[in-house]
Amino acid sequence: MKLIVLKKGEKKVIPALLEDSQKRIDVDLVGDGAEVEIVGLVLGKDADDKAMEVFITHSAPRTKSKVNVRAVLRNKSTFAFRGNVKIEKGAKGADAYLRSDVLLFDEAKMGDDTPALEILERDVKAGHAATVGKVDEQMLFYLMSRGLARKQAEKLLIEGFVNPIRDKMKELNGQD
Amino acid sequence: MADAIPVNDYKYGFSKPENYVFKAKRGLDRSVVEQISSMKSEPDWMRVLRIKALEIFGKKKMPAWGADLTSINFDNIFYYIKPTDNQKSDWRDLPKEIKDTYDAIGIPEAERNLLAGVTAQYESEAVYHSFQKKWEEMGVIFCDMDTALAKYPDIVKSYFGKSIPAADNKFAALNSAVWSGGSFIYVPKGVKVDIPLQAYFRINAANMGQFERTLIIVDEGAYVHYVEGCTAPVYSTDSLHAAVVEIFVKKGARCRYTTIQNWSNNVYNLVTKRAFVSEDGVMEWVDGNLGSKITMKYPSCYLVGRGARGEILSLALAGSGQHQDAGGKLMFLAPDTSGEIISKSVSVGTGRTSYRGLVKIIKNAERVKCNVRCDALIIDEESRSDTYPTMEVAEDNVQIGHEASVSRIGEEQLFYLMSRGLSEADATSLIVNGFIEPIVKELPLEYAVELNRLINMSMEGSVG
Repeated sequence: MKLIVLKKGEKKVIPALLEDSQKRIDVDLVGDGAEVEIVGLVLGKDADDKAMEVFITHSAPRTKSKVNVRAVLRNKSTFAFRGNVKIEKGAKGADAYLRSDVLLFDEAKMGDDTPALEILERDVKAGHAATVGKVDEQMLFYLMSRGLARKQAEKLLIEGFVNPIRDKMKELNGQD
Repeated sequence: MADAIPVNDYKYGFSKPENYVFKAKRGLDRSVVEQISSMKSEPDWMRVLRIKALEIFGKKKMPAWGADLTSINFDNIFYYIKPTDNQKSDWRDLPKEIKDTYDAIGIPEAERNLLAGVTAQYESEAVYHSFQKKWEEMGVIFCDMDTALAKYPDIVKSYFGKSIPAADNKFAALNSAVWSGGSFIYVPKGVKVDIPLQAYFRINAANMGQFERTLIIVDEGAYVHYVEGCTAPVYSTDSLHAAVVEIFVKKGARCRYTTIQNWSNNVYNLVTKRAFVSEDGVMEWVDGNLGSKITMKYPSCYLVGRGARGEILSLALAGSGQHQDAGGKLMFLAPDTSGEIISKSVSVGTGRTSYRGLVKIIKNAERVKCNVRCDALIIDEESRSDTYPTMEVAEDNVQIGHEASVSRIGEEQLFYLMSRGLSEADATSLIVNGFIEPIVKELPLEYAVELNRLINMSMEGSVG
């Protein structure tokens, strides 16, 4: 694990395709206006036991962080997500958003999903959101009412769930 | 503490002379525990339970997470104080100091107007109790825990420590060893107690430890609303309040438990509260934390029966020198259970609020629906706010959502209100009151009024 330090005005998008079982990302936003975006995708199958940890520290004004992790877990796979965003005193105008969405199938488990925020500065915008569950029954019903088989409809919805993240990753790889 | 919510604004901060019947020595050892048990003439099983709990307390470590508890000095605390020789059922019979205290808090009046029953606990013992005949005739039992142990030993024995055993955590062990007072409520099948039962907890002595123990059993199809309020004098040294509350909600029953915790800013408030909810039962915690130096409290619902529901409404207000580490736990242990946690916190001055929550869903708890929403408002430069939500989900057929936001009061909002002629402090109060409104509207009226007054008070001098 290495610490990523972003200085004044630096912007970085970090793709996190969790192929290994463990991943930890540490980012320090130390310069005015530094921005980080983390896009994570986790596809769990069989007896995979995966974990992702993200630690972001905002220590300068007008810094921005956005974390968007999506996971599709099948079979007996397990995933744990621990996000920790800390906004230090003096990081005025900081903007942080932490989000995890997980689709569960079969015997899969969301082991521990903790998107934590620690905020020591008042002049900030910070939020997080998390969802865990199956594909939306109403959307499934709609697609099935249009003549799709359940399996097909499910597949379509999963693609819709995964693709925005996957596209973002492709885009990033293209840049490199 | 100098810039805390000004001490003279905390209107319950007075103390009264101690004319007590008995005060145990400072500190805790086996002899203190034996003494408490023998003064209460308890059955032997309870004495044994206390001694075992004391051993567990000695072995358990302090929690390694949460608020900073390092400055609690267990040797400096009085674990048992008996203020009067027996319990009264008429306010006029209470010693003057105690009567004046409750008059100042406004309880006799509230009782006359709004309540089905009242217990007032002063230090370690319930000194006053009243209960309307009507409910007694319907088989409802409402008394203090010591009386319950003497009069209904079988019921107490079969539920005591069954949802929160002594080994649950260090402070549950401490409570099990030295508990005194607290409420016991039993509501028989189908009986709906439609006006609240209320308890008032008061610490008066310095370095006092209050360890009340509450047990509520709501039988099938029954309903009860229990309200507790807590206040204490302001001292320069610390006091400790470590309560345990166990609730059993039977099939189709509903229980609402409302707390307005307004301890003075020198009280450590470390409380374990848990409800077991059976089939189609509903448990609602309305947990307001306004006072204390440090609070660590996470009321929980163990949804053990199909279709059970748990709701936790948590409100925290931390002024300077205060840390409110509060939240809730929902354990989904059966199919078709549902739950919701709504938390609103406001930090002012150097105050710190932390939302800490757990949502756990076991395998085969199918069709669980759970929603968590926590919002925090940071008022001042020095204020701090944290959110530590944890979810563990082992079942795929569920719908779980969590959302949180942290914000300050918007300049535009302030500007708008001030352009309408409000002062900055008034405008801030108005916005804060709007922010916490979803929880305040669930409180009994006299508390809602009191809460608004408190908010207005703590906003003054903090802004501008």
